[in-house]
Amino acid sequence: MNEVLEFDPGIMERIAVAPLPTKKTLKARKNVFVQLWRLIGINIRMLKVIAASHHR
Amino acid sequence: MARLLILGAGVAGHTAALHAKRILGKNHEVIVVSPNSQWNWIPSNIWVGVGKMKQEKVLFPLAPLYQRKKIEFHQGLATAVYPEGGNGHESPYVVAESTMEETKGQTVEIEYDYLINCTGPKLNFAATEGLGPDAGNTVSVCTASHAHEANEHLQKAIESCRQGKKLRFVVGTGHGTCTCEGAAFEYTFNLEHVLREEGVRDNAEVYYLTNEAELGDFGVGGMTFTQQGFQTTSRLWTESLYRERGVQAIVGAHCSKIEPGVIHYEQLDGSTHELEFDFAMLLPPFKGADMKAFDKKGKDITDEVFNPAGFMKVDANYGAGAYENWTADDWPKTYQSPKYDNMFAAGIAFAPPHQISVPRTSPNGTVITPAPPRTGMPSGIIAKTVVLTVVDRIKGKNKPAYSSPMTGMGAACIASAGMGLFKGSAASMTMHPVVPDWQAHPNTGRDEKGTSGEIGLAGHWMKHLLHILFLHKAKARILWWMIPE
Ligand SMILES: Cc1cc2nc3c(=O)[nH]c(=O)nc-3n(C[C@H](O)[C@H](O)[C@H](O)COP(=O)(O)OP(=O)(O)OC[C@H]3O[C@@H](n4cnc5c(N)ncnc54)[C@H](O)[C@@H]3O)c2cc1C
Repeated sequence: MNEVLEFDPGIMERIAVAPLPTKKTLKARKNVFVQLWRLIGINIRMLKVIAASHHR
Repeated sequence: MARLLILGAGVAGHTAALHAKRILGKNHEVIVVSPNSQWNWIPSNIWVGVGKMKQEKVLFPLAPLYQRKKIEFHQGLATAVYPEGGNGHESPYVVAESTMEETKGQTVEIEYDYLINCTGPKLNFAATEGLGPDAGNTVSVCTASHAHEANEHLQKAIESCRQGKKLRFVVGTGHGTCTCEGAAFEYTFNLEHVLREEGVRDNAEVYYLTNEAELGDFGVGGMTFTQQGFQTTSRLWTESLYRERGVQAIVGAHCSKIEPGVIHYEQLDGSTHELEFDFAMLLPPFKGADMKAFDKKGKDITDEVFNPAGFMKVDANYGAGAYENWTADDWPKTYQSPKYDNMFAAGIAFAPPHQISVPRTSPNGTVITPAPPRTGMPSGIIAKTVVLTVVDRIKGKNKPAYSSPMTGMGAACIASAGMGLFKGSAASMTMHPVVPDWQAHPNTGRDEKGTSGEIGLAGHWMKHLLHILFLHKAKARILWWMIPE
């Protein structure tokens, strides 16, 4: 296998220093109660976008 | 009695057919021409491609549904349109070639009063030598059968990893002008999730190879999200996910040739490289359906009706020129042909005025810029908009055409990053509008409240919910019309 790092060092460096989620964030992303709340949030946001998008 | 002819039964065409019949009722004819006998919920092909969903779950037969809805269905491929009639036809008509086993290759001529072209994309694997399932070097998830085949290859690769082999998995775009980067992104993270689930992640390198100049561009020039009191870019947000999941990336890449186990690609700086791989899912670029157009005398007017890539010209400004001159106003509003006012195009079939992302070319002159995505939500909304205009015309209402520019229209993109009721995850993004309008939203080009991104289990539930809802809608089950596009 050839080594790819040398081909695109710019993006590899950016990924290497990108912000990592904390343990708390990772847990919240899987927590059923937090996520039920987020489901409502995503739905409301999507409905708003849909309402703003339809024909005139 | 008026006759509406719809070409294509994908997201746009099927939406148009169902709404048109519901509104027009028995007094008018709705006819659909489409080559496949089955309808495919394409977004869920991603799950078929990693073995998390059976092919049958994303498909259903169209003929019985259209029979129930009193929509006439011709299983065939439209090959030519005669918008002025001719050859003994008083009315405009379309020539279609049957794709049914029994009548394969036979042609029919179908007259129309109104035409909606929803023929979507033609998967242009031929643009890159060696690309795609037919060439046999890479797989695709663009159709349900492609996705099924992709999973067969994936399972073999996983088995090799299980036996201790170290393999390289590459997912991305197979040409510098591809679109649908969201789908490649989704497949990357589903694949990574499956590799972890199977306990073989340590034996797998996962690469995302894309024509986007930077991660998070998604063919829409990237987005700006407001999170916890800060504005952040989709670039940083996406890079964070790549770091978290240990996925490597190669950006600004145009695949020039694929050989067994080797991708040849050029990057925006003009450098050329070879990347060895064991498994690769690379999307093809899209072009329009290869349809011809003729005037009443039989003169070829294809270049007046369609653009060189085969997409239908509509009420867009195709003369905007350089990036600096692009404005929101370039984008079509009514999707009506400027040449024939009874012809419309919806979904991927309409010719966009230009890209949304900043156009870029390598020093060798290779265009490496995502084509503008026209995802499910805009395709559905445009289809319904066009139907409402056609209905007004059929009913003799003297009203201006309905308008739905992509500069006023949002899109929701739920990019699955792994399946499972409690273990699933998805990146949920909304943007409004799809095409930035810098005059209306000077800060970021988009409405800050309508543009957002978050990662979590809720996104996975949402994606699953959309799978159920859209299949319910496509099957025209109870209250289907209440489900928004
Ligand atoms: C793998 C993948 C995942 C995706 N995931 C998402 C997602 O999560 N969310 C989202 O919003 N979008 C997603 N998309 C994009 C979405 O699928 C498209 O935006 C949408 O399908 C476009 O609708 P359309 O009707 O223009 O084209 P299509 O749905 O492709 O329909 C085109 C139809 O025209 C027919 N046709 C072609 N040529 C002819 C001809 N000559 N005559 C008659 N009929 C013809 C085709 O057979 C087909 O039925 C995804 C795309 C892919 C490839």
